[in-house]
Amino acid sequence: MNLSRISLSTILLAVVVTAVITLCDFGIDSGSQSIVAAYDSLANRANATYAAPVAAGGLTSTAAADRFDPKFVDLTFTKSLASDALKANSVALGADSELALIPVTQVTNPVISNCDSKNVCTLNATLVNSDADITSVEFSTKVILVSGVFYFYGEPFSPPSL
Amino acid sequence: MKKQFNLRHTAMAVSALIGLVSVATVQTAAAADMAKTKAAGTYVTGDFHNHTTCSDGSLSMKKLIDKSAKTFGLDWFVQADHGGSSTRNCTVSEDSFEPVAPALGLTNSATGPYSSSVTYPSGGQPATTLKGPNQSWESTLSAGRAGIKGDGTATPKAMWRWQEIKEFQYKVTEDESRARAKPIWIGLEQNAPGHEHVSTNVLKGQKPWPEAAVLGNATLQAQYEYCFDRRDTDTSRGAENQWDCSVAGTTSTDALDTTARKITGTNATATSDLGHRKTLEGIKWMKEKAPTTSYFVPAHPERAGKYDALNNRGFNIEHFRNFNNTAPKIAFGFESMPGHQASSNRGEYRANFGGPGIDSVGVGTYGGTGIYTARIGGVWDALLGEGRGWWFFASSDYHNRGLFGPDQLESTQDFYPGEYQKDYVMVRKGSNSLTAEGIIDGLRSGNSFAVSGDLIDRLGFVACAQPRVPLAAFKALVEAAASNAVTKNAEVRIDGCATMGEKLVVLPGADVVVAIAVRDPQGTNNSPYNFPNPSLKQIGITQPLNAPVLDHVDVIGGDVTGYVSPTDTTKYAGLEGSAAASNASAGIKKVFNSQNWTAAANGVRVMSYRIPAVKVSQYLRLRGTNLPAATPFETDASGNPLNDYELIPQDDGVTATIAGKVVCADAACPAHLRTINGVKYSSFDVSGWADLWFYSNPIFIEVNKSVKVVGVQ
Repeated sequence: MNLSRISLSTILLAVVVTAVITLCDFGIDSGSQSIVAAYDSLANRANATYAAPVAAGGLTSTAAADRFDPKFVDLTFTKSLASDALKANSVALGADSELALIPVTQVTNPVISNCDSKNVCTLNATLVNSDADITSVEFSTKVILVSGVFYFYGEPFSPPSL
Repeated sequence: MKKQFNLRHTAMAVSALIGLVSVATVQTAAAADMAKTKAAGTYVTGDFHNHTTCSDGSLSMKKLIDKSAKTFGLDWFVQADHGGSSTRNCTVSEDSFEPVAPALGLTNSATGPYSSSVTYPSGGQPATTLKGPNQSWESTLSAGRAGIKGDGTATPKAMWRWQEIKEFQYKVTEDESRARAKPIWIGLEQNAPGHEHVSTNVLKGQKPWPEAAVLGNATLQAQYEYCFDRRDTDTSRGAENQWDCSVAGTTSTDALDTTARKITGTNATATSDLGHRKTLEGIKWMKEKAPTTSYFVPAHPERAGKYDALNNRGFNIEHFRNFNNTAPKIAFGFESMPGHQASSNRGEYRANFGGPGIDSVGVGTYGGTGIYTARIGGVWDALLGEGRGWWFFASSDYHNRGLFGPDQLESTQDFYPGEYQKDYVMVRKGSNSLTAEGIIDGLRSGNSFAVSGDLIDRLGFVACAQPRVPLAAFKALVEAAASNAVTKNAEVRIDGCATMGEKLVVLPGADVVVAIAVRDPQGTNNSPYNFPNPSLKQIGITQPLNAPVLDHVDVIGGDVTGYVSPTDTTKYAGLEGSAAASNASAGIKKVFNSQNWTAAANGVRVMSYRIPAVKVSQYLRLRGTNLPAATPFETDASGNPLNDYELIPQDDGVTATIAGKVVCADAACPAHLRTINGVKYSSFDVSGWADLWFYSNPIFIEVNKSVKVVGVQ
């Protein structure tokens, strides 16, 4: 297991979580502080995942996979595939030092808008990598608010050019 | 009501989502590790195979270097004449110019075979016969004949190439390097025993710019020539040098001649592989003497036909494998895009090249590239399919301009280095200057591409293990990274991404995003012709010959199935087209053109695609051209280049009688084109400028716990 790489990624994630804290407007007719709680809950669960020792199953924990809505699909990538990938990576990381990790990509300037009656919203944000050469791009994807928690909803109608 | 949320919460949530996925689902190895440690680099242009009057070229050292480094702006240059011996002194500069007409044998510039449609440099042409660098060593050395280390009784006396390199050519090279503040040094086009030609170099000892201004030496390069060039028949051990060509630990030491201290035997029925063995000894010698500052790159490998040991011809795939197995950090590629691109037979590839019935492999070139590379699934794909680090290069192989003088723009034989072909090589300069060592490192790395006619001048090519979520975002990120790299003339440095010459290691089933950015330079290239491209004119496209436009880019890929053992003779050795020299899995995986790439006004084209659920180790490489698929006599329906020899077949007659295939009908088509019954056919330099390509080196994708890609260092 390449724990140093895991640690680095964890650190990077932590940096992300704090570094992207900025203030701007986003429009969602939340109506209460429950939305704030939803974000807090999500962030806390994510942090809990990374705080747990990887060897103790952090990457394969229920919480780790529970970032995706059950209906999540991004092109052909479903929640179950995501869970499988998490497990496979966890095993591989422990068995092969040749495998390396991609540092956390940072998301800045997120704006959630256009929530529909099913609480499916559009997330617009900037994706930034943290490598030797930094690149940033604007992107848009769907998230869903369910029982006070946001999940990735995916892009079931992603363009075929992908 | 609209509530103003503290965005902190949104950011935390989204970051956590994406961060988790990124860490947990992406798996890479070598490339991922390399990104953080790679110094910033840039692609630089150069050429390592051209000739002067010290062998069979037509120019002095100074003039050829001036054309390469100044006129055509190459960033680096390696002068590499043939081995053997020669009578002319290439260190003497050209004499003062003579009026052009007498130099060309014309009474005035308005008469003669070129009429008024050729360029005439206002200063005239350099003097030729028995002047300038065409003077002999014997007539120009202060010691005359006595100063020449050579053999024979002929007058003028020929000097061994090792003496030329060591005592005369090197200093000129180093002086020119310093004066121009560019790495310029000296190599050798080896007459490889058992084979034809190989571009070689032993840099150690040489001190081109930016080395400190203390004269270096090319002693090791000279010794290599003495020891391993087929045409160097000197047995004096390099006179006072008393060289010994033995290599520690080799099994061939017993073949050394006791006097010459080198292998001097000839190929014969009883020793049919002696030449090849000697060539391998040379590679071992490089590995022993200069393991990180040498290279061995077979030149125009298809030209002389299939391997013929007794007649020292050609290369088969098993020889490339042998070379690479002997020293993978020295023998790492071939010049499958040869020089001589303006020749009557493009690249000088043709039928009966080596005599009756001895054709170049593939007979002609294909879009200016030899069949070993041009045929998808052929020799190059077979080598890449092993996971070998075996790279593609181009060279100009400049000797002369055929019917034209050296300062005219037309050519019926060769193009200058940088005029038509360029090798773009990634060099990591860091905070230091561009160095010869860095360039050799770049050549060895495979992070390079070759271009003809300035079809493109920037390339970003990258494959990245995909974090999967969100797909659109990651695709956009990688495309943007490739585009940024092109803007900076650099490469993509992102952990989890691999570029040319590197490998990306992923788990089975991983998705990979491939992104490509190229720049189609705006304006004109070095072609002197602005009439419509005759090849494109056939299909109704009117495009100036000197302003080519990239039509499409092919992504070519194949499976990697591992190294072939030399003991598996069926798979290891064979001619072009055999099972040993084929990779049936290779094919065009994706085609990009104006319909599916994003075009910017500055000529940058950006494109990408996803490879879903990778299950086997594989490689990807690129090629691109200005010619659409199904351009008659140029490309087939799939876009593959057709045989150039069919477009303009060999015609040895004093007066041409064999028609070409593509008519050059514009009034500006030059008079030197093949003309039959008043009809001009695309030929010589015009057919070269009409048919442009680029080739990238590959990116390997290794599936974890599957076939290893071991050829990437």
